[in-house]
Amino acid sequence: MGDHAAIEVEELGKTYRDGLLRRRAFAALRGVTFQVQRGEIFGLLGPNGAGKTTLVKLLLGIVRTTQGSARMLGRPAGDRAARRRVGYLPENLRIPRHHTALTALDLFGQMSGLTRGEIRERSGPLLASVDLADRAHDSVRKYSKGMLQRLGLAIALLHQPELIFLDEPTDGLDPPGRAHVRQTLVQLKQEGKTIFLNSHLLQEVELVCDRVAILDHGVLKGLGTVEQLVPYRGEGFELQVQVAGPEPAVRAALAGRPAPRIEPLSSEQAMVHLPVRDQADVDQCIDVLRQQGLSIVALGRRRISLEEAFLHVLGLPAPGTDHA
Amino acid sequence: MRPYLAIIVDSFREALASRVLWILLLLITLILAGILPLGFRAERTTAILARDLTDGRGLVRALQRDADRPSTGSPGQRIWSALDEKARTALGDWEQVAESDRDAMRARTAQLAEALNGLLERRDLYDASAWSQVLLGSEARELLDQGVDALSADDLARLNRLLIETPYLEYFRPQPPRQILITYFGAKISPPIRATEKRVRRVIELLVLPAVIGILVGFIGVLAAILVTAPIIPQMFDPGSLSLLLSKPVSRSWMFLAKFAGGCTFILINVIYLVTGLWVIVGLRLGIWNARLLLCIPIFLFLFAVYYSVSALAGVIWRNAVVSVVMTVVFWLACTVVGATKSIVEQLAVESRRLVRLVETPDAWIAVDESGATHRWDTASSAWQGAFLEGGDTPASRVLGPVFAPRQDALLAAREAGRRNFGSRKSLLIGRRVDEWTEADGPALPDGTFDLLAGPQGQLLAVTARGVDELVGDLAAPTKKMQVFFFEIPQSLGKPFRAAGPDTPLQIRPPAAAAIDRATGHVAVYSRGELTWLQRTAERYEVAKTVPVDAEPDQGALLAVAGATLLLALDDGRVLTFAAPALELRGSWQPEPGSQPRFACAAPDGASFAIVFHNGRLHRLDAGPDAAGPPQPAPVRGQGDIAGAAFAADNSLLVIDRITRVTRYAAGTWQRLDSFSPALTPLEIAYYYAIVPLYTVFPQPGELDNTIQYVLRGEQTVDLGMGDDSLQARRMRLRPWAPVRSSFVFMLVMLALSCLYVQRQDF
Repeated sequence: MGDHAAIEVEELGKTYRDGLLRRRAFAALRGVTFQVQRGEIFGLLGPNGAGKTTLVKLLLGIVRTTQGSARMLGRPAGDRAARRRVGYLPENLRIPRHHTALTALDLFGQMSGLTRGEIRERSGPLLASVDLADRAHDSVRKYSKGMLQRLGLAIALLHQPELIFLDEPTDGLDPPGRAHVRQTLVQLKQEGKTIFLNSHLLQEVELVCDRVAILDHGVLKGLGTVEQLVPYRGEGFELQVQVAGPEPAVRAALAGRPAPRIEPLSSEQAMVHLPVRDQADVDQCIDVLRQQGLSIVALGRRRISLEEAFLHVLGLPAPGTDHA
Repeated sequence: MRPYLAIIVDSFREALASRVLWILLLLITLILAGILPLGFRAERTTAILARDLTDGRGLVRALQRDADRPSTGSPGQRIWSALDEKARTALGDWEQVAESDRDAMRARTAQLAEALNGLLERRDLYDASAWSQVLLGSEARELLDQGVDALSADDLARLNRLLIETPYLEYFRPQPPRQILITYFGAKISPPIRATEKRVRRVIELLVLPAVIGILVGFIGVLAAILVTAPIIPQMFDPGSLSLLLSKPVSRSWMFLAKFAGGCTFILINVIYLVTGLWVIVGLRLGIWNARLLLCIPIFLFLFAVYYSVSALAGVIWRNAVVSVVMTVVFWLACTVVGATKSIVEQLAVESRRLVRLVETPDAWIAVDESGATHRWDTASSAWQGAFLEGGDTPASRVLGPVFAPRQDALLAAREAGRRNFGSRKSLLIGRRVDEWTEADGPALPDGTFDLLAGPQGQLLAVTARGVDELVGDLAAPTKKMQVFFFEIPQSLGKPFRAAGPDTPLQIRPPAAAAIDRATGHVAVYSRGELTWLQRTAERYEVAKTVPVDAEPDQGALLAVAGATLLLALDDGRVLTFAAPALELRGSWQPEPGSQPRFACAAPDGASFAIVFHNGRLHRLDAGPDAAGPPQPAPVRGQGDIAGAAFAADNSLLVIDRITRVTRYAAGTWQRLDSFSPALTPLEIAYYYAIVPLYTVFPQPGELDNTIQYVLRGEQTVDLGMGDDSLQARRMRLRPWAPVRSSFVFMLVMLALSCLYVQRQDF
């Protein structure tokens, strides 16, 4: 173990090629750069098809990079020695049907380099920790999706990895199950593990992640804490002002404000959506608009949901808004 | 290695959890249970079958003739009078039946057999005075010593059969004293098989068992295995489990190979169960404990692995079990087409045309091909032209020769007068040089002739079961043909052959071989473990020495005489030399383990022997009194493809290779003197330059049954089972390791491609 970051990604790109002569190209990742520090829980957010799973597969060496570089635990991505220190819970995990929880742990444990003695020793407590102790000898054919997901988590943790990739770990879990996973993640963090969490569930990310990267269409749209990426989230709301005046004038008036969204209603009117923190902030916004000689036609306010904040970062329109 | 072992162990686990495995094991159990009650038992040969009789009407005539003699007390009288009146009347009318009425002839033969069988239970058949002139064998004498009244029904039937058979042996086909019955749950399911238990066991071991295993495991088993294992590799590429597998610190290639090994493991369980089960059943039921059978397990596993490597590559690329099965079946068909094409071309167009014997005549070499057709080298056209052709008969009916008899200035051969089953009567075929070797019928050969030799003064000698007969009469003497059934049996009007000794007739039974020293005319004869030297003195032969040879009596053999050295080559591959006339053993070697000698000849100057083996290799052996051996591969071209060899009068050696090419080598120096090398026919060109190369590089998993036959037999050449147990008859050459090599290389290529694909592919 050295001083380097758990994950270092620089200008990382991946283009899939398809077709008979491999002439059809699809860029799944484009110039992604970030680092994940040791001991942090890092969340990778993004809509379906954003390139999250591709990024994890690149780091694990399941697919090859076509551009840039990626390092994991100080070694090139995909390096076998680094993979020995990594646990992985893939999305939509399927355990071959002939297994029980114990035999699955035995197979994947040995594939991770554990002895059968070590596997026997660790299996009991681990299955107990994912609430599968009493179903250890049952065929996985009889498992629910949530149980399979918990078994997958146990497999990922069996060889006590330093870095754990969890791809949609709460998929298919009921609320208590999700809470259990969150507790496990917090506990792992306390043990000094680095966790890379792939999810499109914002709440989950928000609850456990120290830092988040937002990926969309293979491009990194943001990197930082949830607060940094989603301004005013938690304490703020959205101010909706219908303004009489030309759009360029409105845009010029709000140039200093963070993330305004201006919707032209006609050549003479526009609807302005402004994230605001408090009443003083509201007053300041109104003052700025008035100082520019713009008339206020209507005024309203609405709390911002986390989803809206996320879509806002992605530059996507929010679902229907309220007008006061 | 631990991760990969874990994958293999997981395959075991998967197999055990799979219903398919248990279904397969159940099916195998049912097959084994179905075979288990099969067995055979030996019992005394008592009942006379119609097919035991070589000439039923002849037997009736003989019985009637003996019965009509005024003297009393002949077996014929006793037997004929013991038959019931109805049978006597019916059989007495036999003369009225036309030869051409096959059904009636057959019915009468069956009637005769039935009538004779009616005598088997009679305690009053034996009459000491009637059989007083008959030399009964030890078995009959022992039974008689017990007293007819004291014999069990079975013993009595056996005694009566011997009493009927012994005086009329020529009308009975020789039968072993015991016959075999195939049984199922102890009940007879086959007609009696007239063969020794040992022979039946050997047939089962060497023919039936490989065939059964080949079909059961090699065809049905492999097909089932491919269907069952086809999903294993595609399942590995299931996206839900593949990412987890690939995230583990293991090599993708090794992981794939471990999965492949896992599939093989699945099949291994089944093959072990089936083959071991067969081995135990065959051992317990038939007394055949051939541990070599167990070697079939790795061979079948390998056979499966070859097909599975194709299935695995298809599975890696298309990740679909159906596509895997289809691709494997396509591969299977391709292999079969290539193998069958070679085999068909070989059998129809190549092997039958292959020259195997050469006969020197004063103005040309005559060559005999595998089908028995004769050819003469035509210098003008540089080709072998048909010669000594038969009018209407197939060459195959020519059974001995041809030999060139200088005294008659003709090629002489023997033709089977009837079917082989109808005794050993043969007649001569003559092709005189003045008639451009055109074939003509000649006189009948002495009974029991088994070889034709050219004598020291250019006369023809016929070696018979009793000794040597010499052709002295006029070959142009007319012959009479007697109709027996629907065959013409030639009968000499004159007596062109005279018995040349020995005075005390030999008792030679097949398989037998003879050879002559061209210079002195001394003849060596080998038969059933006995070697006899017949010294020629004043145109008569006398036994100079007889020695036993350590060999199975039913082994075929070849003989050649070079001066005072005699070469004996045996069916077990041994080559022995003896010093004549004392017949002291001088050396014993096995120059080509796993193969048998096919032809042996001696140089006219007595300096050396040449031995051609069934595997196409030619060995030379010095024959002088001081020569020590062992035989050495001759430094000639075409080793491995040599079909025959013959010494010329000038001691040069002619060697046949590449189907029809004959090359002459100088004695001693092995310098190539000349060559009779006809241009290859288009089919031969296609065979040598297209079919054989394609076949060589193509995998031959379908021919691993050759390997199995070799493993079970330990021999590289197989008697084709055409009823001709002569060493000179063509035998199938097993190439046990060629399919293993080609299939192994192919499998490696398939696995390497799969590994490369798995290694480089994004998943």
